[in-house]
Amino acid sequence: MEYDPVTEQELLWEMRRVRGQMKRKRLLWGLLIWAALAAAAGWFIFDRYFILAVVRGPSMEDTVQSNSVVLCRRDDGFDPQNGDVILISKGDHMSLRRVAAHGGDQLMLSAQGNLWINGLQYPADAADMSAAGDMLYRPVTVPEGEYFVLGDSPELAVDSRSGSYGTVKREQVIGRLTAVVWPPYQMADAFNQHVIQPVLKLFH
Amino acid sequence: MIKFLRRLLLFLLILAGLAYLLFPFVSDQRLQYRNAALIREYRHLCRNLTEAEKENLLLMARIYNGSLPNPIIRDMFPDYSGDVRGQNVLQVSGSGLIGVLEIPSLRAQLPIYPADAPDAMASGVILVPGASAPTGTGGHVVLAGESGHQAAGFPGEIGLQDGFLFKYLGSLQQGDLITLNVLNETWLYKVTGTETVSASRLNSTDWSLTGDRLTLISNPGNQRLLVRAERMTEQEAARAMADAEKVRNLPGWATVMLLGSPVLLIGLVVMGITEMVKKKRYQLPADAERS
Repeated sequence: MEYDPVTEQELLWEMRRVRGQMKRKRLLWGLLIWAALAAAAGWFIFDRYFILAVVRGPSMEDTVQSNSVVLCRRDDGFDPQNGDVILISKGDHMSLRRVAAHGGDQLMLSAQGNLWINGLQYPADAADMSAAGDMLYRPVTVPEGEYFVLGDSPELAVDSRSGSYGTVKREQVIGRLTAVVWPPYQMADAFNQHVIQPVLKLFH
Repeated sequence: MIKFLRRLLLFLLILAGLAYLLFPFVSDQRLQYRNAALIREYRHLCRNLTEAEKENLLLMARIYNGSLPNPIIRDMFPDYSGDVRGQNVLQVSGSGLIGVLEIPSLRAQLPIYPADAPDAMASGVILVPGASAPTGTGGHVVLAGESGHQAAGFPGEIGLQDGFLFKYLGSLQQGDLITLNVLNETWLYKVTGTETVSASRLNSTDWSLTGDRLTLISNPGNQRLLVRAERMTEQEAARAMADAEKVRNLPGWATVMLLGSPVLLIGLVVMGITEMVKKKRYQLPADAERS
């Protein structure tokens, strides 16, 4: 049997063909492996540390606009402090509010709408504070293990000033706000606050 | 050289295609960002008003409403050119806004301007002259907005629009919630129906000032889409406010994908760098000569 000798050109083509084939296989396997790793990492982070939630409603309008997507750290036994924005689950209803007072604090909402916590005035507009609640104008003490929470837009918010919402028990706190990740301009703010600024601080 | 130019051309074509597809979304995000800042500033200015000042503004608006004759609603697209006297009674000093319109089911939050504000409908809605100013005590408030505003410059010339505005107004269903926020007072309306009329027949539909009503108008094509709404009772409003307040988790699969996406991105970068290194190191002699 006779064979035509292989020319250099044909050899080169065949080598390129095999290389291309190996490259495609390598890329496909690489993609599958990295996708599996990404899914595993995503599941691990979701199961242990963070959740993503969509916020609707105007109560936190000044901080988190309606229809924003927020990244919240799951409850890891943390102790909510005054000023923390916490994720609350009451029955089948979830909401995001800011802690204004905790167990043992004494509160009073004056007739003018000023909120006093342990003798110090809460920094919010009086007209807004009296707008949306039925809280009685007498001193109340927040029960131990509970939190008095307010929306950041008090004139629009349904929060602990309202009898139907009331104070929040510790077991109803299921997380705390870490960052707003959508819409993009809020994500850019969060990226600047949590990534750029800490890096810049290292150089100061 | 020719191969490089071909790749460059392909890259530019793909980039141009992506830019064309993403332009409406990106410009809408830009518009929302600008509107969010304006609305925040408006709410901040309203908070600084005393109760007496607020009452005074609302009283002036009620006097304006009381002085309205039988309404004649002129077509307000593309610009309104009629009498706008008295429209700015509710304007807070330092802000160009009269109030804020929110439609939760459309994820729309739009500033309300007087009809003579320059380029008002490019970024918000106007209070239509001849109808009531919003005071929360009855009347027929009419707001008009464009269903997509043509972008400025070259993007506009090739048919691209700047922001979604009232583009999806037609998808509102009966019972959907609409809120008006004026001087930090919030009034809730529910959609009762929609109708479409031609621009020339706009004035012959129902514009009576009785009841406590709201109508939204947009301009899909040459028609005028009217969305009618009625003020909710207090019980309905309290229930609607409670229902509107919702935080819900994203579905688990979406959260896993989003939280894992940085790992995938890192993987793609690693794969890209590895391929580049391999290509350089294991180049065939003929290819090396050619390059």
